[in-house]
Amino acid sequence: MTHFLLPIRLSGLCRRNVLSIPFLLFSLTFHAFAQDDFKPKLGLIDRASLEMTAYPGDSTADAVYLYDYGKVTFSYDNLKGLLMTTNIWVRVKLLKESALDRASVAIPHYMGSSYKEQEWIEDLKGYTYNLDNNQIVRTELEKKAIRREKTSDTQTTVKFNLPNAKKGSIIEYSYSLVSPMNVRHEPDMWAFQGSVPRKWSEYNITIPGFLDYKMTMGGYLTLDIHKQEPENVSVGHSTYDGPGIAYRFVIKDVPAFVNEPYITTASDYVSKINFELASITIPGEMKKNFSQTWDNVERTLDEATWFGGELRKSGFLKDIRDEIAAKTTDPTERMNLAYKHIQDRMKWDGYSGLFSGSGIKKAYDNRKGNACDINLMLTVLLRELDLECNPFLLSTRSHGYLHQEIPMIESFNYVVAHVKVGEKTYFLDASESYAKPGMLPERALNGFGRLIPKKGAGKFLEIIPADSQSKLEMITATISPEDGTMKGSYSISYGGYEALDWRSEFAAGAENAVQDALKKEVPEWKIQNVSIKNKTEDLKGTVNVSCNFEAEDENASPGVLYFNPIMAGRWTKNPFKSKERIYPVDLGTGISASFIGNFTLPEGYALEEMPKAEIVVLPDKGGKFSYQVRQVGNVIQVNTMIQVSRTRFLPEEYPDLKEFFERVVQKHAQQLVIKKKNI
Amino acid sequence: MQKLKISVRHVIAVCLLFPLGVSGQSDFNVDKINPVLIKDANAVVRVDELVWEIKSQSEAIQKTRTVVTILNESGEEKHGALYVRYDKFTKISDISGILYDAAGKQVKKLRNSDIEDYGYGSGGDDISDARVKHASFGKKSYAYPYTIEYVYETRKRNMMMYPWWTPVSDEKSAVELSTYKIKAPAGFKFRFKEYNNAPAMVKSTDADGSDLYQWTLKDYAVRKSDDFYPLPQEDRVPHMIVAPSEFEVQDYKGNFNTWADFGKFYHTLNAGRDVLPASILAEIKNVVKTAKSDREKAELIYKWMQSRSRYVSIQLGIGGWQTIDATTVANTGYGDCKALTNFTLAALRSVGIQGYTALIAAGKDEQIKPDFPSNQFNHAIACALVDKDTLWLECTSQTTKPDFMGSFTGGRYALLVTSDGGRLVRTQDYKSGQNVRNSHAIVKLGETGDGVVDVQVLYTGLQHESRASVINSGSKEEQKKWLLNHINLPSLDLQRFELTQGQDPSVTEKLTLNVRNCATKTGTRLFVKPSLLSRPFELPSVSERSSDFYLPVSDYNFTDLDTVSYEVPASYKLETTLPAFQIASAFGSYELKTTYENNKLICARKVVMNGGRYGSKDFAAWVDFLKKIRKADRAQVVFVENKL
Repeated sequence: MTHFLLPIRLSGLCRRNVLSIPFLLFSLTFHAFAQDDFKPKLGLIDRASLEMTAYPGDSTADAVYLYDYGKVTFSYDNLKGLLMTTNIWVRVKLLKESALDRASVAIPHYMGSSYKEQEWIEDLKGYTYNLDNNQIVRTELEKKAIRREKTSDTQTTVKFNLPNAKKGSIIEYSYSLVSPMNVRHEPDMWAFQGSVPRKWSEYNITIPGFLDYKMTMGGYLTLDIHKQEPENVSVGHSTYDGPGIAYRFVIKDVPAFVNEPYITTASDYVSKINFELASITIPGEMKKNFSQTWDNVERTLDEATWFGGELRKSGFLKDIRDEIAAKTTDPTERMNLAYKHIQDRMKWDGYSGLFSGSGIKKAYDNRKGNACDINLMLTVLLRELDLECNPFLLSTRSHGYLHQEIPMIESFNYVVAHVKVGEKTYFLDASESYAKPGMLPERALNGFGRLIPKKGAGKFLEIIPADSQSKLEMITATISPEDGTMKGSYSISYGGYEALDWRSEFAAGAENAVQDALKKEVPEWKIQNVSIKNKTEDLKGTVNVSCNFEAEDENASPGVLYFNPIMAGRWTKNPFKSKERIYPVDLGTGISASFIGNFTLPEGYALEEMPKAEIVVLPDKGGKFSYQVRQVGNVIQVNTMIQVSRTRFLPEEYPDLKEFFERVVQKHAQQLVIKKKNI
Repeated sequence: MQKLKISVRHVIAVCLLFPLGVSGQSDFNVDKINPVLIKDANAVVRVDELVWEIKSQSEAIQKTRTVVTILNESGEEKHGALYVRYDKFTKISDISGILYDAAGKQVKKLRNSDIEDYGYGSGGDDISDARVKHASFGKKSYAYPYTIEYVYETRKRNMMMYPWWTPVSDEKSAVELSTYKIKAPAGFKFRFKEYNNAPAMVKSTDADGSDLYQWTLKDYAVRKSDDFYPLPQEDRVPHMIVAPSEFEVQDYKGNFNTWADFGKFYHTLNAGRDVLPASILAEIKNVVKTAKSDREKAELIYKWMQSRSRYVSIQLGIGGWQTIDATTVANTGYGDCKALTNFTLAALRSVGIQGYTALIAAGKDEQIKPDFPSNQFNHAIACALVDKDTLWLECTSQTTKPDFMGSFTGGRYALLVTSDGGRLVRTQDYKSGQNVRNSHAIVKLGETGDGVVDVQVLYTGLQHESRASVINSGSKEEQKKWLLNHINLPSLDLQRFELTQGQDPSVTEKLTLNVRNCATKTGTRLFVKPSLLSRPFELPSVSERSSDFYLPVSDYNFTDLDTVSYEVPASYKLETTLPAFQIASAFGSYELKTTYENNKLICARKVVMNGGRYGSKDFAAWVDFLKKIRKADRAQVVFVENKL
């Protein structure tokens, strides 16, 4: 029997890229209503906000930003050069006690050794407003309550606590962070959305003509105000003064951002605006391009000492190159040997990034480096071995989706190696000790990446993992209905990402860790003869753990035995709990989980009742669940399989996905009834 | 030749580093380690030398040298870096380090660039003048095993605290040699006490006539750890605590010979800081004007304080022991625990209610050693005396009810700071009978096993804490999410929920759930679980142990009373016998009763647990108890379709 949950959808395509459109296209839908504008005065509060006890938009929010404002401007200083000033101004209503810590503020900023490399905070003002005996009382932040703490060698933090903040108060503060452009050359990302709702979130930036920033919007909310006006910008130096553009963006009534499971990273979903410096054109000087097209990005990378420069170093790899070259001429074998060498030699320091840390030679000598170090040296080594190998740039899941339509170096934060042998291609990431050749760790499975060839233009390639989270469990057992005991063998085979996870956890650990973990899974079983096959010998193969076991069934009574045949690999909970979903589901990898059981009954017993077989499929060949119980002679055969091959699902597909696992849980809970034959 | 050069350099290094003649081994070849120490270890502490050189009541020098052989990554995480905390009373005079390879050959010396300096407090609500130096060789990866040596010296001018000695600082690190030496002027008095079989002291006289006290621990192999239910560290690990008799800090003199002395010093340090401005005094008068009893007054003042103050961590000045004065707290509306306590007590005093600051070790299952007067506290609360009774007030929370201590400060010793000194008192215990979950569920079962479930649950005592904090901090969406993760069902649809707080204190939870697989349907049968929605119990993976075990009272002192009443469709009839269980043990009891009448299946489950310390020989009984409970909880009632 087959259930089709829903007719096949017409638009099964992943639409995530639609959500973030280059900035200029975005503006077409905006409408600004002057009468709706909100321009409060610092230090002045309205009574209605003080009287509010709950935010109508979200009645249980513990705080709401009544006003959330940022403004970026540029100026010139004779001593420090170009300066970028970020003015921040927030006004927060504290609705619950748990929001009181918002009245404690820390503003870290960069503190280099020379005065030209130091950021500073100025014009810091703070107020707390309360309604005391129906009177508005304003308490100002005293200058002496502001502390400056040296947090580390390169960071100082300005800290202050707003006085008299209590449930019902409104706190307000404003300050400017001034950054020399040689410390920070682009504005921080502005998020319109955060953990509590915002009534008014506004961002302004006035960009002088000599600066070119690439701006990108992301998120699920639309702008309420978007203005873009030419303005004559005076930065205080005749060379730089001239026409520029003033931007203003406002989103009203912004809901709190609520994290959902199975997303890449919150910043992919939050409404925000991002900046990247594209170029500086100082009149009378050469235009300095940072990056603007993918061609530019690639050229910048190629010219950078920390990337392209590193790819041209190879001397230190000569010994190992010769060693591998002497062993074989077969390109695939060479690739495997080189990959294994770097995998074994190098310890990943846990950092991603697009920069080689202290250079690949040093990293090689130190046997430790970031992922860029490790994979660039792998690329170099493979090139030295005459393989077609190129760096492949991507954005990790925690770094967010890569937007192909927006050329920016900052889009990337990770490098792996891409190898072509004949018609076959492989992605290699040697920072992951137990990944087989061609398998990228989960963090790198994030849509598209860009291949940067030695010569010619780069291109985008989709990362489609060939492997899934795959696990096959098998039980062969004999049942003794008299006392309800079961005796037999249990085996688990871990493949794909399950194998990678297993090896990362157990391969280097103590012998008995596997046994302990197994015992934890099935504490009531008596387990013996645990054996592990292929711990790490062949990373392409599965890890196999097997054991003998003895278990007791609780629901045995003389003459009748109720028994759930999914003795292992049972899904007891639906991973999708919420009824609705706002954001797309991103599973990262596919799922393949199976269980096969063979249970032998003694003479004189028969299966009285068994669950019906079921097959459930997800639309667009997204996945399939099957469940079947059969009796062959005196053997009960059980077979169940969950396969989810698609990794991304739109919010409107969420009910199907939830229902799919609902059926799994339902089927996996069903029981057999075994009865003694009446003779 | 090469070899000789190295060893010469080595000797020079040692001489430079230990001019005071801290003894010890200097060959750190890994082969020299007794194989017994390597077994199951992530690291072997080769030498751990701590010298506390008391110069006077107001000054001491602390010298530390540690040499650790790191065997794997976990060992590196634990011992790879050195952290030295300092503040205006602690000056670091020297930090140095050497890295040796497996053969004991020096590979690298610590450079200034390997030492970083950080502020101690992180957020805006964490203000501290303490700082941390962090040293490590972490820029490079070294092949295991290798050995790291760190040496540093600090000069201390805050003599309220002496360093304690915990020779086995990590369960997975073996110790070859650990020593603690205290050098003091002849006849200088201080106090110490060893715990959990820490080695005894050997006293001698130094060349300059000073008293030398020394403790030495040798060849301590890694013990097989019992992962489940470990005893609290202070009851398990050998250690020694040391504290001053007479001491000076800044312009204050004191002694810690008795708890009374300890209290006296705290009192002196904070005397005269409880003056409130006139406007606040008038406000307080107004707050209590309708109150009829002292208790009522105290509760009103507490509520008033909660509504106008918030907690900010402030660790400034003398070890963070001197409170901000009450007037400042009145004006700013914030303070740390001692400042808010001081402010609250000042407010109580202004209406004639006496009360004391109580110093306490706060946190789940924290305890102090009552037999050794010394600073073992991390928190301060107020203890008001009303109508000849105590009223405990947690002043850093805006939502805690008066006199509720819970798992944070309940069931332990506290030091009451009185004007004539101090005395230890026990705070209130939370026994099983006080920490109750009382639930009633009505389940309407459909033909296919679907159910509509209406539940009402009352939580009190320790059991109400987590839900109270969800109410106090979460938005509706977050509360819902929390509940979805804490309702013990395979899948459900939460139709409606309501969480309300009572005065006792308590929380009432009302839920309406649609549950698809409330009972499992297979063919003509319906399988029903009597223990629907009950708390599950985990079984440890081992059933024997060699050491005592501890069931934390904050988790294990509880009573669960769960009643589920199923309305079974009339088309079904009962097939099985009705389960009934009664299990008694030293750890508590379990009872499950089921009745079936007029298509109504009523299941009542009662679990009482008693936390605490139990002997290793009782462990098998504990596992057996859990097994029996789990078995009882898995029981099911089977119904089969009526075939007419």
